[in-house]
Amino acid sequence: MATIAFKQVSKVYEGGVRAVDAIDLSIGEGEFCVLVGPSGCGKSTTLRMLAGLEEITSGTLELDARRVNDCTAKERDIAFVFQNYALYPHLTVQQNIAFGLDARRTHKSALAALLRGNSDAMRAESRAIDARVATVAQTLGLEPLLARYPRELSGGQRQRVAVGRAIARSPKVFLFDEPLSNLDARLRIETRSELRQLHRRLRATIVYVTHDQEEAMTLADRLVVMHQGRIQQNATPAACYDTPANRFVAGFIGTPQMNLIDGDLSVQHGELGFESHGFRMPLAAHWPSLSNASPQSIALGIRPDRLLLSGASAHALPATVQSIESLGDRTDLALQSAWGRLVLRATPESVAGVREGDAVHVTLAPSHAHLFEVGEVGARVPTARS
Amino acid sequence: MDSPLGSALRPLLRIARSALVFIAVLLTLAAFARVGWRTMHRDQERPNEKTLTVMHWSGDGGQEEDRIVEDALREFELAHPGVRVERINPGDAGSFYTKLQTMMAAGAPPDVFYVGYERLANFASLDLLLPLDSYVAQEAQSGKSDALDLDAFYPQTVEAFRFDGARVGSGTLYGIPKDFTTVGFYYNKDLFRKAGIAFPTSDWTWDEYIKDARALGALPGITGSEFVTWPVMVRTYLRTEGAEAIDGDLLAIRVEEPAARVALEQLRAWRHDEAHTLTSGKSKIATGASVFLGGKVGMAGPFGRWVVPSYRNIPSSEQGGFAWDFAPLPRGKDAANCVLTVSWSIAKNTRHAEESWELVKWLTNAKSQAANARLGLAIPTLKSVAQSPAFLESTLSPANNQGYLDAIASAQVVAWPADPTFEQLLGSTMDQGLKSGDLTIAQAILEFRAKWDAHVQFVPGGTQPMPMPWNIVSWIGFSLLALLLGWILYPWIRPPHALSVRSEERAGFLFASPWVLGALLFMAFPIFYSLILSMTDWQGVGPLSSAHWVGSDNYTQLIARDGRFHTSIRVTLFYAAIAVPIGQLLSLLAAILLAQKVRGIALFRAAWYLPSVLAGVGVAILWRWVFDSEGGLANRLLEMIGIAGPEWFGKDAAIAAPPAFALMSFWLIGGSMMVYLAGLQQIPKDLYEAAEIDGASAWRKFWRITLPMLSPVILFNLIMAIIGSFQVFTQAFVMTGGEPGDLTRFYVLYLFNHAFELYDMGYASAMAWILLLVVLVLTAIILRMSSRAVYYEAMKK
Repeated sequence: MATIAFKQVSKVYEGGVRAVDAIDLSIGEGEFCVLVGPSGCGKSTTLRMLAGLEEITSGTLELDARRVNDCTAKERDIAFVFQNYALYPHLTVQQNIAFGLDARRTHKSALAALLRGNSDAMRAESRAIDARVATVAQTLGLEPLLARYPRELSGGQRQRVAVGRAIARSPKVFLFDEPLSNLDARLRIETRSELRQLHRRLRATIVYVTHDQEEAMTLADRLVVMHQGRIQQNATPAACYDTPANRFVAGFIGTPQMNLIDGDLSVQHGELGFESHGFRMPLAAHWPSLSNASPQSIALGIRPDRLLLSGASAHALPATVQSIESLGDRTDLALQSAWGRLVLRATPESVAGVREGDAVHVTLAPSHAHLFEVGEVGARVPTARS
Repeated sequence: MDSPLGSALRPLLRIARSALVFIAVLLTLAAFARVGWRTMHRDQERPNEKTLTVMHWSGDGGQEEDRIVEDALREFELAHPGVRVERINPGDAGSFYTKLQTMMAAGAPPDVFYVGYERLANFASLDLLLPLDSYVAQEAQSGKSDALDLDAFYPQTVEAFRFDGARVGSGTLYGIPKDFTTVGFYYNKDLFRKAGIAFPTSDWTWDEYIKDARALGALPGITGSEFVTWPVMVRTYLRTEGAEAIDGDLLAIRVEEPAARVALEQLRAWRHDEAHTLTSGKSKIATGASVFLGGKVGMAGPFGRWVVPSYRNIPSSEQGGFAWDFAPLPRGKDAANCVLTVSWSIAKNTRHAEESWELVKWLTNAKSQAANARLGLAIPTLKSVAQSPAFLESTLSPANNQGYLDAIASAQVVAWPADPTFEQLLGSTMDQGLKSGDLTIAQAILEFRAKWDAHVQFVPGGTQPMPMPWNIVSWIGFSLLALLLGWILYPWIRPPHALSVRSEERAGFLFASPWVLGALLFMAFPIFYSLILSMTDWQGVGPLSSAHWVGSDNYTQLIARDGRFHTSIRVTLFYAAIAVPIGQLLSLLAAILLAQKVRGIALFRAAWYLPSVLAGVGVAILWRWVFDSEGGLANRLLEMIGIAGPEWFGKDAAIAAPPAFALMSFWLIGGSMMVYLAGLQQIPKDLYEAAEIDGASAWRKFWRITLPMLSPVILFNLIMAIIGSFQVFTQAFVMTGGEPGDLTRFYVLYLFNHAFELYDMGYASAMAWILLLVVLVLTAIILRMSSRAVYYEAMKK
């Protein structure tokens, strides 16, 4: 169990590619921290720097308040679960799990024992390793597989062996690099909850990398959204969802994606409104900072479940239903409107009569809308509540 | 293809495909037809035009000899309308005989070709040459102006091509000598003047020779004389001392007789007990005729006339070279010399005997000989031409052309047994005694006796061997072929599968068929054939019908009695024991080094691999320099650290030569290194990262990850290396030729010697099969032993 702190840590690869750009991040003891972002956002590099597999170009990395920039992976006492599990194909499950324990038997102690002719000590050590492997195997339900080779295991089993190898050594920190991405959807959800339980049991500090925001949301105590080598938001999953720090986070977190519409903000007849492609929608006074603003470009964000079908009115956006995806407990409508393509999520009952090609009207509750400054990572315009 | 456009195109595609198949078939048929037509056309030449094929070499004569023959043939064509002559010149004599052997074995030798005197007994005994006596007799009767008169030739040169069924010298005539040479020493006139000694005379003695050699050797940086110990020279030398290597019937060896012994001991003592008198046998770099060119050797010989074209390139004294001349072989107790000659002969089965004879006459007539004489390469066999200004009054060196002719009086044809083994054994054992010096004369003689006896006592198939029942063999072969075809065709005859499966199968077989046909025709057939040949005494020249069935005689002789074969195995194993393990270790280490990500690593990789793409022969010649025991790089390096280097391929060859070859092989680790490198890069990087996080040391990573993950590659490389180590040929062939004695005669080299030098194709085939079995067994043993050490898991996903 340990605390982790990144202070202005950067990674610049040969050739000048800046993979991680001066990030600050501290992770508390026993926290389950998920780094999430699209591929190439720097999350894996961050993890690998933490593991000691990648050199830190600048900045300070602290483990338990101790600078570890120059420590080897071994000295950091961490465990790493790889995306492809990195199981040793020529070793059995038993040997795979014991590998790290074996490797850590210091040569000095082994040599000393050998010189003293103290085979008892050595044997005792071997017995201790066997016992530890047995415990781990029991925890993960791997006992029947101990004599098998990795290629004889299913994906899920391999994944569990990889986890077993990590926990066998009881390290300070667990690092997971997209550990579920090679599993099928069902197994992924199962394993997700197993990991969650494991975390609860071990109370270990975990840093977990994934590109799957759903996985990130369900696992994380703390969600760190990364993009272009920078941290975009560092908060709880709920906070990231409800009050995305910027347009990127807004678009990245949540399925289906938040509808984002580029338009202009203006005051007409003393009333704040958002206009895009000739359709204007009034906004309530949620944005005190904007009430006296001069006209400006802005982006409006609204989650699909906050779009509502309504009758025709001056404030309702006319749209055509392009396709209907029924998921049983909910239905997603893809709409074509003056604002472009919009996704609307509704209960099946509320859209029972709607067919593809129908003309409909859409309204949105301004209190659930988000406004972002222009640009890919345009900052969120704070509302009265936040 | 499911789009409407696709379905519309489908018939078109089908037509296009059929058209392509049609074109392919047409092209193939056309190619066959063209070859067939050409063959038929050649066979059915127009009745008024006959085509003769002529084959010759142009080794020492070079381009000019090539041109002289060409000119003579064109003139012949002009003089003989209706006869066309096609000429083949494979290059030097070695290539010539290989080609001739192949053509003879195929039953299609050229009509007219060179035959060296030393091959005559062999070819004539195999009934490959047309007897010429009747043609000569006709000539005498014809009374024509261009009639060939054997009396006009030097008699020894004619005798050289007479064979009576047992020995050369009398009997049936099988060739008309085109030119010849006697032998002697070439000497550096400038060095003689410097040493203050008189030039040799035409009747000088060995005493005078060795006195001169010592005087020359006393000059700083000069060696007295080069003395080649080729078998023919050893025999001629012995004759000057009244001794013989073999008796007149070519049956009993006579080197053990006191006179021969004394003469041989004397020659050995000159070389090995005196410094700077004779060139040492230690040096392998410059041997034979070329040592003379450098001007550091007073005399060189015994050589014939053939060195003259190259010696004529020596610049004059004024231009930094030196003046030189020729003196015939010195006298000992007797005066003696040898006649080395080449004839134009005719193939026994020529279809145009008359025209061939006319051509041979043409090529040996005074005009052709005069043209040859100007080349300087050899002496005309026609007395009139040899004694004419065309030969005697050349303005070029040597001045003493008369010296060659003076030697004729005491010169004889050197008769060799029809079996070339005698010459080879005499050569290699005397080389050990006289040249490399790793055996004493007594030992060399014993060795020669032992090897010759073992050879003579081997009569494959008994004294009355059964002619090869080729018809039975063919029947068996065809039955096996039919079985094989049946096995291949079975899928078609079998109760039908679903149509789609069958068409897929058919496509599969069609795609595989070019390879399968090639493999059957060019691999399976020859392999099967060599198995049959290994149970015959087929000689490789001459038709297959001349072969006899000898059962397992070749195998039992090899395994139980052939000491040279055992030596070759010992040499090969010794080499393999060093080359394989160390070579593999080095290439693995190199691969690990080159797997590092360093700037410019591609350059290093290329550099390591480079030696593997260089031509084997050229490289082998360079290595010969490295291992030269006098001033070679290897010994100089050893000297620097205070070790006296061995005579790698000389006196110490028994111990030093195989390691030397192994050292050379380390130069070529690039190939297996590349395989290791590829293997290393196949190992997932995250395994190393996982191990690093697990706290494994570099050593542990290598031991627990690299080695096991690489183990299938190591096994592969190991097996390839073992197979490769049994196939050492080029280096040994080029660098040592198996010498001294048989101390570097690797397995495949010995096989080659039997197949292409001793004309023992059956014996060589047996050797090939034993090699196959040995490699097979070794591989099986390794595979079995490896099952525990090799992790195939690493190869599987």
